[in-house]
Amino acid sequence: MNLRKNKGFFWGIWIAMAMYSPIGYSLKSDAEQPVYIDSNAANYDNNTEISTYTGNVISTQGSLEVKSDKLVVYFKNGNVDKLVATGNPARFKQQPDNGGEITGKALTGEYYPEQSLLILINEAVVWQDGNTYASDIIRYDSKNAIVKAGEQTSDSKRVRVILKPKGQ
Amino acid sequence: MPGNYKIYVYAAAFALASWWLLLLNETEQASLLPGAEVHSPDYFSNGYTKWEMGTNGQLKNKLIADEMKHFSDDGTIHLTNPVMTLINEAAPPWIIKSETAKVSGDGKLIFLNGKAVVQREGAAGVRPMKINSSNLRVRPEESYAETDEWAELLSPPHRTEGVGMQLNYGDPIRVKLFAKVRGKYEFKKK
Repeated sequence: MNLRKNKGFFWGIWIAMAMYSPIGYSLKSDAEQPVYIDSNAANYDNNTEISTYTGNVISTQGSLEVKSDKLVVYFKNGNVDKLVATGNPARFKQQPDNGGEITGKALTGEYYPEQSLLILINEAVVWQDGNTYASDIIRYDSKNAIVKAGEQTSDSKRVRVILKPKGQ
Repeated sequence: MPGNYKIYVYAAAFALASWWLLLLNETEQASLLPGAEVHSPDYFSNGYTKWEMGTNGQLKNKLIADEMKHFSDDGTIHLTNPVMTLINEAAPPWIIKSETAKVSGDGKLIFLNGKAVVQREGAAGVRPMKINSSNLRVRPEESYAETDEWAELLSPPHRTEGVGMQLNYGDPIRVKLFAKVRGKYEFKKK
């Protein structure tokens, strides 16, 4: 095995780890909690079925907390379909039942409560226990604390992963 | 001599007070002369009900109240425990309740004083909605209400509250909350 092939092999492992990396323990109890949103102001439009919260928006679901400048709640037939947080950046954190706190940031965060899925878009970064995941898009399964970085369908979405060596 | 001086002072004060009381009494009597305007009801009704029909002859809204008083000086109507039903052909009616209400002389502005509730039942394609608040100012021709007080928007299982509200209860419904907003959203259990 030559050096060139070795490099490709190791990068393949890193990317695979980045694409599917469990970084904590399950948080099933969070997913069953209601979402609370605090903000300075809000408006609701029944025609579009959209609620918009603005000004120092803090939304929580159990231990999952998202801070943003603006949060838009989209309804479908009266049920919450998705929540979109925007900020410069929007920040999130979650405390797993076991393990260190997971934190992240992005310019946009889309949260799908039915799937407990948080998608971080644009300048997205996730940290846990000294490990860093950075990409244009990061999918975070808040129920199972699983990070998926990058898009499987596109090689152009670059992923940077910095894993803290053991013992540090 | 100092004692006599005090007597003159007391006598002068007594005279001044008597003159002032006399002046007050004359002013009060003048205001009660026939023809003078007084803020008192010129007619009233207990168990008041008012029906308003639209141009198509159909019921547009209905107002009931325990007591109604009309004041001739400013044309206002004062209501106790009013319940207003606003008919909407496309959806269940809005029902607006408050502890007391004051309707302006031209009928374009209604003050809902004390606890106020704005409610609409659910129907096919229409979500039920209830708003708890107080001291609402309502402009019925514009289907608009506002308050500077706390307000709570309930659309089960969701709830939003805040301080200061603007509500358009026409079509489409729009709600704005201006401070200390808190929303709670529940999800279906899987």
